[in-house]
Amino acid sequence: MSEGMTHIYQPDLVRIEEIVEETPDIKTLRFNFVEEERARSFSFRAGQFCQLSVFGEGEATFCLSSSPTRRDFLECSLKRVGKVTQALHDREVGDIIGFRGPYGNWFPLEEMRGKNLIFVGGGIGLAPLRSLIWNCLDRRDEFLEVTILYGARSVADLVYKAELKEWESRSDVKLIKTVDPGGEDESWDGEVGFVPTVLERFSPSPQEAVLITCGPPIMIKFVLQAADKLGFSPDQVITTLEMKMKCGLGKCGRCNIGSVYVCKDGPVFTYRQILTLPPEF
Amino acid sequence: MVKERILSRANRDRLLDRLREEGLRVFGPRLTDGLVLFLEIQSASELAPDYRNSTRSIKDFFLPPQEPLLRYGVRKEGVEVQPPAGEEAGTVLFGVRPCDAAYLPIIDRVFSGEEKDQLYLSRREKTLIIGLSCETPEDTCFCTSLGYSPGGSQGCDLLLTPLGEDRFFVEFISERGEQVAVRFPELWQDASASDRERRRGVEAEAKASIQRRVDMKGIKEWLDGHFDDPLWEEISRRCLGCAACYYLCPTCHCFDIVDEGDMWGGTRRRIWDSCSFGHFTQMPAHQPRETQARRYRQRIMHKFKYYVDRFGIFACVGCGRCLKACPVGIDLTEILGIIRDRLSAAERK
Amino acid sequence: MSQELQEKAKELLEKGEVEQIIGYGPGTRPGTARPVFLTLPEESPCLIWTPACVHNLVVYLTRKETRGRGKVAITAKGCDVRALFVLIQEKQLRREDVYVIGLSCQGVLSKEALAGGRWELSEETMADKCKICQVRTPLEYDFLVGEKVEPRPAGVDPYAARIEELESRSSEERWEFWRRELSRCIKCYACRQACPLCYCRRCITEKSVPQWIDKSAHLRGNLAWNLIRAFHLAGRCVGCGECERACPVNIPLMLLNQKMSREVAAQFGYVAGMDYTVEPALASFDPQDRQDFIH
Repeated sequence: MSEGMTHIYQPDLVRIEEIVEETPDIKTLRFNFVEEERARSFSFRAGQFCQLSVFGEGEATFCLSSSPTRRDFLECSLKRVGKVTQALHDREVGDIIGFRGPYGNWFPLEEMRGKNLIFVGGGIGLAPLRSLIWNCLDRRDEFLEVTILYGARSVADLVYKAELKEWESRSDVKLIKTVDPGGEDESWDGEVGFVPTVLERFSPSPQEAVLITCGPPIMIKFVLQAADKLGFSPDQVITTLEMKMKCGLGKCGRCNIGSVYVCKDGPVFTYRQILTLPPEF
Repeated sequence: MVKERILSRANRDRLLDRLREEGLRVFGPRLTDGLVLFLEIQSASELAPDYRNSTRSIKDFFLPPQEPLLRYGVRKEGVEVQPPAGEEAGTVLFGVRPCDAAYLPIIDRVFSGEEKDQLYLSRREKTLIIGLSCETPEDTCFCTSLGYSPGGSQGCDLLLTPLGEDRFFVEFISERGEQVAVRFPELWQDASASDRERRRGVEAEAKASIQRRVDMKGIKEWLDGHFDDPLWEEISRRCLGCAACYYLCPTCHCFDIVDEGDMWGGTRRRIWDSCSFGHFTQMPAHQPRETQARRYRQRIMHKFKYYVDRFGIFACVGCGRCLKACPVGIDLTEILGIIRDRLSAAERK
Repeated sequence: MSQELQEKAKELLEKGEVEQIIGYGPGTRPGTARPVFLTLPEESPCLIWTPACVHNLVVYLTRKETRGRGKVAITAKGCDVRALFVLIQEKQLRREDVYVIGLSCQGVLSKEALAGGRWELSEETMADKCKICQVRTPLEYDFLVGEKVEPRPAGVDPYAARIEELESRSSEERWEFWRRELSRCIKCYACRQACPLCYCRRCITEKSVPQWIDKSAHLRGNLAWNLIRAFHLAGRCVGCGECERACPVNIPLMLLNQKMSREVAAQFGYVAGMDYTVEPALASFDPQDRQDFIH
């Protein structure tokens, strides 16, 4: 950047290094800072998000889905739903886009140590969880049992298909994969049912456990209810919320739920915290 | 330490000239196209002779309706991004009413904190606020209900109070204000005890003339407990969903960031936005504020509850622009009064 | 007249002929009126009909808060009923969905008069639109409050004079005029929200792929918005003046809209909102239509 006023809305330039087509409408972009110094000094924690931008199209919010333990690159997974995500989907390897971050709070990794971890994800909601999952698997002996329950509308809509296979093959991870009724194909060997239903079916014990969930708002709602039924206290359940965001810094006023800004006080919240929020999300 | 002086009308004119001579841009209220707007003035003769308050607030100077954040250019070699040029000249806002000046310490809290918004803060540093006490508040004014006063000095660097036609009582409020006293010693005269007396009298009279009053006690607590209440539907039924009240309101600070240009070059801007619009919270698969009632609730909640939760102060100075601007007569003080009535009824039980 | 109105409103609600009434009630600022929404007969005493009743209540008919609640009655001046006609023509409403309480009208107060506390209706305090009004008795109604009133006799047309004056200026002068006026726009969209005919669920400004109209309140963005709105209203605007009244920064929007509607009248012999059984001029094509102005 040349001379002029520096300010907090200035993006870093990042170069796209790899693009993975996860599903017909979801891609994972792997990218790195153009400026080496920035790449070296950058750090983040699982749960944080960033603002990616295509110059001329705009900025949008994405959670960082790579793990902070793997420092050679950053990854975001994005579903094509509008102007900016379409523009990001149109990028090619080598293209330069804008990056602002990391923003927000993060998953309370320290408090999760020594516990059984139950990850419950739906659709693109696996993206923020994936950052935490790899973060935990890279420090595997700090945690007890690791269970991953993940589902999508159909087999084609499952993200991170290669990693699902990897997690399935690991002996220190229990993977339960599911598709919505009607979403299975002939070769499907996983569960069939909505994620909250399958969660109740598997009935994990709340003993020494932490349940971390992310997915469409309706799925989160039913997962929270299911966790409650299974005996999880609201302090044992963690989620990450999504609201429309712009600045990422609690200034533009857009992402509030009651007095809380999802960009500053979140996006990671315990169910206990969510119970204090007004029902406006 | 200079605290109080008298400024003659002629010297007021000279003060503005001197400030301009120093290279500062001086803005004051001018009558134009049926409105009173803060426009650049070359001399005091351009000032609106008699005005209550400007149509648009001084927010425009610190958070303008649109401003460039960066310019980008895409070439074969790569992307070049240029930050905006900083503003060179300092600014003087002359004739700011106490309610408007009072908005600054309220909204400063949003733009400072851990992440400092240099675009806003650099303008704050470079702007001298010369306030002008009100003598005749309007029927829409209600600053006193929020704890402010037509002769109040919050947010001002200097505050002028008219003592008759040709003299002002001057108070130097901030360090920057005191420096003005020191820089132009020939402009001031000593203030007497009876000047002080008169100055207090002007403020007291103006305060007493304010008809519109709301008792704010308990309002915040009522809002804490009434997120779901039929009141929101009732009071917002006539709301058209425009942003007139939001954009004229000094304490409304919401914005959007947009890119303008094509894939080869353009500008990223910060622009005003408003929670009155559906698009404000519209996500591809989800809209948390579907109805105008919910969006209107957000306005009231933000100003009188959420802002208090975060910063301990109401985000309202009682300037009354929202009342004047609303094309369908929505009255914020009426709404607060309705809440007040409900509180009183509950207390009586 | 207010009493006649209140009794009729009470009767309509009591008999269940309508579920809701949109009318005018007193505002909280002296001398003002504002829209009110009634569902109970005992609320009817709050209805008023005075020269301060400037709002076009037809704007509420297309909103979902009104649609879901059964048949609606609305108090409407002649200009308001013209807007209703356009909605019917454009298939947004059916005539039978609305009970029209027509208001015979000698004129309403201008924005300046109301702001200045001058509440007596006179030539001087009357809104510009009233000075050329041909529908002082609404063209259609289910009930009329007051006696029928003749259209205004021909007199000074405040818009014609100003349009003519502007058109006599050079193009640089005209550009400077509009540059100056439209620079004040803050994109609050009060004009759009107050207009009964701006009922698009997604306004063109909200379309982002591509972003046809810059959202920013700079000159380019302001020109784009105000001009596209004038074009989208051409042949539809009934001249109710609400856009100009609602504008917080006094942009003379009626000049733009009146110019457009006069242009349509001259080219197509069509005036919007006078007859809802005819095809709208700019929404229909006839091989006999003039084409000589297309270059």
